[in-house]
Amino acid sequence: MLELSGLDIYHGDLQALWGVSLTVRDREITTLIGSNGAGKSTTLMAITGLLRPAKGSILFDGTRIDKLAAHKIVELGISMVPEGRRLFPEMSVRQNLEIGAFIGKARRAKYETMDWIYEIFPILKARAEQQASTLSGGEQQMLAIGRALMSQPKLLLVDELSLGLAPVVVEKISDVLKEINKSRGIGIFLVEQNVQMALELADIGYIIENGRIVGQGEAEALLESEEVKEAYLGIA
Amino acid sequence: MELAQFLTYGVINGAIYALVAIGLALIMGIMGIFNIAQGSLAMVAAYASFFLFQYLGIDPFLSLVLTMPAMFFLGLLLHEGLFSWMRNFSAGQKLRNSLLVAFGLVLILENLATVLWTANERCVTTAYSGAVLATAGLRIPYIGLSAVGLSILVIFGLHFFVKRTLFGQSIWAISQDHQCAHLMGINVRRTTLIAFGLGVALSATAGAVISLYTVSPAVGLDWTNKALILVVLAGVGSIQGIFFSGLLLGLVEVMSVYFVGVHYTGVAGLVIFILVLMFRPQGLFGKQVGV
Repeated sequence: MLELSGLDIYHGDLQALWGVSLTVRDREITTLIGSNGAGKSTTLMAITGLLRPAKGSILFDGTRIDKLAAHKIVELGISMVPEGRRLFPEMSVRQNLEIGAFIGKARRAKYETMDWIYEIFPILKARAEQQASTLSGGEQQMLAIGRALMSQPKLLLVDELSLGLAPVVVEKISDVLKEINKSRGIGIFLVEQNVQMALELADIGYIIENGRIVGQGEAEALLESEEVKEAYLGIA
Repeated sequence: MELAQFLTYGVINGAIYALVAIGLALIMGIMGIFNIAQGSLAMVAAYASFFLFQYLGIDPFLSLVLTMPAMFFLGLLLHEGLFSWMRNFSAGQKLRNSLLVAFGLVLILENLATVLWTANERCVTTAYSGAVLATAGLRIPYIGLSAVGLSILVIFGLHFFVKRTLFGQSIWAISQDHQCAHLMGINVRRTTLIAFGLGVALSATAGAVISLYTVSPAVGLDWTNKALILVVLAGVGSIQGIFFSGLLLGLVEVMSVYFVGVHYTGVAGLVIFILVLMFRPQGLFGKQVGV
């Protein structure tokens, strides 16, 4: 279980998060929705240890991680699919997957995990020796997810799954995420601008505006709520 | 036949340029630190080779087992003392700051060497120093032959290390996206420190060869000049490209000596430097423009 409590985060002098608290439960899909610049990616950066909170704490399975180095956090079982994929462009598909299994325990099971990734995303197997930069947007997103799964995480952080992808591709990938969550029990924390898709996929949702959590609840209930419909789905 | 002899020298010079440039290119490619003190570090290593030969009689190629680890540790100290505080800077800021710091280091090393060892030119004279291999009408000095061999070994060895070993792959990942490398569980801080040490350790290989030709405190900057041309020719992020760029520069220089005259050697190198910057700013072997 991941627990953020009272996080304040600054980008230089600019405060990006104001007392953000939220909980991501094991084996569930949780989503954080909000518009561009609301503080979604900042929240993820703080969880992964790439940004340090000025105030508040982050607990993962009872361990305080907000002062740990980023690579230690990966070892504890949190893995991230970064915004814009951020693949290693000079490496092949296979090499990207291999580097995903860099940490000790994942390295030992590298080939089994890779077989599993090839099973859920068969196109990656077909493209295994191709350079990552030559993949289409959807394939790149699949590779980014595969790479993150290679570290055998307990919790998968996904930053903007739908960014720049065709709706049909988004649907396909979100189906796979749901399947991974169900069959392997990997918790997913999805940060999204595509509110409809995120709430349909998730169990629990949080809404962030201007760096503050302004709403939370069961995803289904949020999807039905008037505020969400009005503010994010454009249905009056 | 005379032209072929000139070309032989071009290949030898080029291989030595590549030895000086490879550490600079490695450090530049991985952490965006512009260590223009690389030639001066090679100069320091060359003095180490010289003194190890003078007092202990150890051949410069053999003493690499001592000078490389020594330069590696010097590299770790330099990184922690002078460069590690820049790690969170933006790429451009890091480039400018490291350039200035490294230039300061050039001045310090050059003057320190002058104070300690005088400005006299020295060189190691081994039993095989003047010997040449005469074959097919060419006369190839054994020192040059060894330099080419060492250069191939170092550069292709490094290429293999980066592409095929786990530690090498983590270096490769950092060079492509250091923030994302954190997310793979790579200890970026420790890895870049070791990679910096490795880059400085490679200057010892150049130092060994330089000690067989001429070493004086002032040669550091001359070698750095050549290394900079190679880095621009090769493009950032290309290891093997450094070797081929070295050959290109070496050959262009000797051709200019053959066809134009010895006074224009430096100019020829700078002309191809400018041409590459104008028409192929990403370098002959590089993939992207910019830093």
